[in-house]
Amino acid sequence: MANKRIELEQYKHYISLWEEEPNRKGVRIGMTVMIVAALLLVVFLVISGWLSNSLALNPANVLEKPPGKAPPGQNQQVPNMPGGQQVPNMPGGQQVPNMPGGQPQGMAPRPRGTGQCDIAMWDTLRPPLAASSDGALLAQQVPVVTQPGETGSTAPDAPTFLSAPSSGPSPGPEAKPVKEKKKKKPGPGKQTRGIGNLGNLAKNVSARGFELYVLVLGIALAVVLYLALRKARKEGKAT
Amino acid sequence: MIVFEAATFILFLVFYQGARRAMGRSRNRAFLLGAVLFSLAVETTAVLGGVKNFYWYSLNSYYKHYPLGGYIIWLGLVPLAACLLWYMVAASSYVASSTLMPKRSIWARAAVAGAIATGFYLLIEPVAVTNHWWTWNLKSFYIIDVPLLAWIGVFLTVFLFTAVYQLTMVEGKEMPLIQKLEDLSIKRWPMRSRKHTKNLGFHQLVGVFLFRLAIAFVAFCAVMAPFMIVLWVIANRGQIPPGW
Repeated sequence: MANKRIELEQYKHYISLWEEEPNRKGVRIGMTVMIVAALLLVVFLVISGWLSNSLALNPANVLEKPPGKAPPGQNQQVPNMPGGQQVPNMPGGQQVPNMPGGQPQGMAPRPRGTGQCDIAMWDTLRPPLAASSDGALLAQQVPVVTQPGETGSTAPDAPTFLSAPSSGPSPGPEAKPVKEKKKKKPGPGKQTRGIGNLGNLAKNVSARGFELYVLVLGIALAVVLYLALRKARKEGKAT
Repeated sequence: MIVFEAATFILFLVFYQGARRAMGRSRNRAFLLGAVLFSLAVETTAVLGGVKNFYWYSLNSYYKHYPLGGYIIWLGLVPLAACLLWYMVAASSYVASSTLMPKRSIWARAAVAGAIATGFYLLIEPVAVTNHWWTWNLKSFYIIDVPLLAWIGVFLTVFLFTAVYQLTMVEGKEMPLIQKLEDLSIKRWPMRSRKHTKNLGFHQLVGVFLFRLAIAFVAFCAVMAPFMIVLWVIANRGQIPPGW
C-alpha cells in the first residue's frame, strides 16, 4: 500500500497532464470557436479599414500630432507657424480676422502632405475666424517687434510678437551670403514618400487602394484560418 | 479607440473560451500569462525607447472626450487591449500552424506561426496608425507609414514565443543552449529541483516557461538591435519627437 502511494506520488505530474489533455471533440469545438473569433477580428479590422479610408487618404493624418498643451484657463489653441514663428498677439484679446481670400495675411497657407500637425489646430481656429468680419485692415498692418528697451514706441493697435522669430535677423541687401563650411546631408524628413506613405496606397485605384488592401489581406487571412479549421474537422471525422 | 478596445475585450472573451477547450485549461492560462507578459515587455521597451506611443488621445481637448489617454485599462505604459490583441494573434497563429503542419519541426511551425501573425499585423498596423490607436516615432525605413522594424518584430516575437511554448509547455524539452543557465538559476532557486523539464510539476513548468520567455526577450532585443541600426541608416523617414 505504501509502495502504491509512493508510486502515485511519483507519477502525479503525469496524471495531472493526462487530466489536462482535453478530449478530441472538445479540441475541435474549441478550435472552431477560436478560429471564428479570429475571423471576427479580421472582419472587424476590414470594416475599420473601410471606415478609415478617408483618413488614410490624407497624408498628414498619420504624422499628425495631438495639439500642444494650452496654458490653464486658455481654451484657444495657438497654431504653429512655419519657421518657428509665433502668432502675433492681438490687442484686447481680438482674434486674427477673416481674410477675403480665405487666408489671413502673413500666415502661410495650410501645408498639405508636409507631415506637419496643423489640421486639428486649424480646425480649432476656424470658428473665431468666421465670427469676426471687420478686422481685415488690422491684419494688413505690418507687425512691429517690441524691443525690450523700448516702451510706448509702438502704435496702440500694433500687434506685438510673443517672441522674436527664430529665424534671426534678415541680412541686408549688401550682406554677402555666408558659405557653410560643411554641407550637411539632408536627412530623412518627417514624412514618408513613395511606398512609405499610406496616403499613396490609399489614392490608388480611384481612391479605393486602402479598402482593397485591407480586403485582400482579410481574405488571405480568412483562407489560412479556414484551411486550418477544415483540416482539424477532417482529422476529427477520420478518427 | 473605444470601439477598438471594446471589440478587443469582447473578442478576447469568446476567444479565451475556445482556446481553453482547444489547448487545455491550464496550458491556455499559461499561454495567456506568457503572452501578456512577453508582449507587455516588448511594448513597454518600445514606448520607453521612443519607438512607439499610445498617448495620442491623452492631451488637452482630446482628453475631454478620451480620458485616460483613450484606453480604459492600462498596464503601465501599454493598454491592456494591445496585449490581448497580441495574445489572440499569437494563439490563432500557433493553432493554425500546428494544425496545418503537425509533423514538421518545432522551428518550422514557429516560423509559419510568425508569418501568419505578420499577416495579421499587416492588416492591423495601417488601420491602427490611421486611427491613432498608436503611433510610430522611429527614424527608420517605413512601408505604408509603419516601420519595417515593426513587422520584423512581430515575426520574431511570435516565432520565439510559440517555439518556447511548444518546447516547454507541450513537449517539455530541454534547451541545451540555456540548460546550464537554468540549472544555475531557476532550478537552483526557487525551484530547488534538478529534474528534467519533462518531469517537473505543472507550476514548476510554468516557472521554467516564464524564465525561458525572459531569455527569449533578451535574445529578441539582441537580434533587433542590428536591424534597428541598418534601418536607421537607410531610413526614409526621420524621427518625429512625440512632444506629448
